[in-house]
Amino acid sequence: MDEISLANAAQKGDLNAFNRLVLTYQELAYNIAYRILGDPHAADDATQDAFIAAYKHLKSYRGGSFRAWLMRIVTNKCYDELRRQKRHPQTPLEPINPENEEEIESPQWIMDDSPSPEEQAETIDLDKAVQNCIQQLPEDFRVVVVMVDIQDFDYNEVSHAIGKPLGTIKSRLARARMRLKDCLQGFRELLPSMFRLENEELS
Amino acid sequence: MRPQEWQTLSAYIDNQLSFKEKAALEKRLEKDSDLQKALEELRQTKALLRLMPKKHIPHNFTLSADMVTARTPAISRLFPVFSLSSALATVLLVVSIVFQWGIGVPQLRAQSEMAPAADMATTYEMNAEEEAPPPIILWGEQSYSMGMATGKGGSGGGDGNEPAPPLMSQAPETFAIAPEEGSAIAEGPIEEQLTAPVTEMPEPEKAIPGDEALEDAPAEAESLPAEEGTPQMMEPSPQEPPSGKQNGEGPILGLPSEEEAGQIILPAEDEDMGQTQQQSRRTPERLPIVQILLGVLALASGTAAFLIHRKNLS
Repeated sequence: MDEISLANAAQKGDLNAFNRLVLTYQELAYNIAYRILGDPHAADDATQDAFIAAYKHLKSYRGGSFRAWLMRIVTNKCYDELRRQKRHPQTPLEPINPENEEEIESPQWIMDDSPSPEEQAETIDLDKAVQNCIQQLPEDFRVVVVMVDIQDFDYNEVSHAIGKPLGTIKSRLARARMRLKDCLQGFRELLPSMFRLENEELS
Repeated sequence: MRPQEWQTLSAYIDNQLSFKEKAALEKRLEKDSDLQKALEELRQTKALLRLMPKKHIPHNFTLSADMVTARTPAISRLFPVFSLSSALATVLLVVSIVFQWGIGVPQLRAQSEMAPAADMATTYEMNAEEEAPPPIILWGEQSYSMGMATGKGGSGGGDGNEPAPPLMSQAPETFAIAPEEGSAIAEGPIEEQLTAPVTEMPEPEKAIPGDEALEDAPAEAESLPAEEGTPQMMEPSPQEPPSGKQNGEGPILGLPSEEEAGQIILPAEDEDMGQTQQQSRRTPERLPIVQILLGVLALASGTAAFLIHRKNLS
């Protein structure tokens, strides 16, 4: 059965048909959620919630790309999780040192977001470095660059998935790439040799 | 470089430019080394992102029957309650507004014309005094003037000891001012309280010669307060008249007993009217409060219903 047939069967209540679609797209959905959220546990929850919501709202699927329709639900769940994190920040507003019960002078939120030289030296994993730069992007830019540059979606699919016109997708993607380019300059020593050499030649 | 140039380069590496845009950009790239450098940086960035390893899923996300048939949260089941109460409150609010402006306004206007200053209790009392029948003021003893007039009448017509014609013929003008005549007869402290008209009184001997019935009057007049110029307010209502004595010897209609002396008797219907006006004044005051409460209820329940509905969709 193809994708549309499975979706139609799932719309009629066939849970097995829907689970076959889940098996097809669960890795893609989880990876998008992970790159947007930057946390495996949050990505796990968002992905599971997205599949449950997709099954409950299958009636809203009216043909077309099931992948784009499903990724729209995934990105919406990611936005919900990001909003929840903003409402309930894990960092305390007034951090207290438990030893002397005095306020910490340099709490996390007044620190510079960019990694310090020591942090950069400690970051030995390119994946973490790239993810760090992705996390510094605005949410709207982050979603677009993850879907296009990491998950290889085309512009139309992204436009359908996030409900924005093509011009917005192009603009957000270009600005996201510019910021990522600048951020990744701090991790030049972690880049693969082919990128580093070309980069040094250009610079 | 301008943001627009970065956007063109970004679309170029994704092959999203039209043929004409692509040709124009490639023509610029041949001459502009900065543009070439920027294009290369964008390509490297994209290639680097494409190299990011895929994350392995921690578990399968397939759904079980329990997951899809999980009961909806209790708050989600309140959605019909909130939506219905919001709609009901809105309807009642509209009905109350229509009632107030379509039906209630003429009544309110009529009430306001009846009592233009009905908002203030003192003003209301003043208006009530002006519009309502005057109260009965019962003085300490029976009215001297009434007593005198009755006494004269009694002496003239009912006493029988002395014929009336001499009284009528001797002093027709003094008959007309009979109330003051008694005062003039009075002696002692009452004389000091009498005012100017008393000085115009004729002498007692000329006024009532040989009238024995009037001999008791000066004695009664001694106990009267100075009532010159004091209005005698008599209530024409069918109330039972206070008991009293005629010429100090017997009961008479309209004269008070000693216990009732000094009281002010308001008509019974006056109190009822006052309560009715106050009640009618409260009704338009309550109406905006009810409308405000209905509006608040409609807004609160509508917001709750909207939030629950939004949560169910997400």
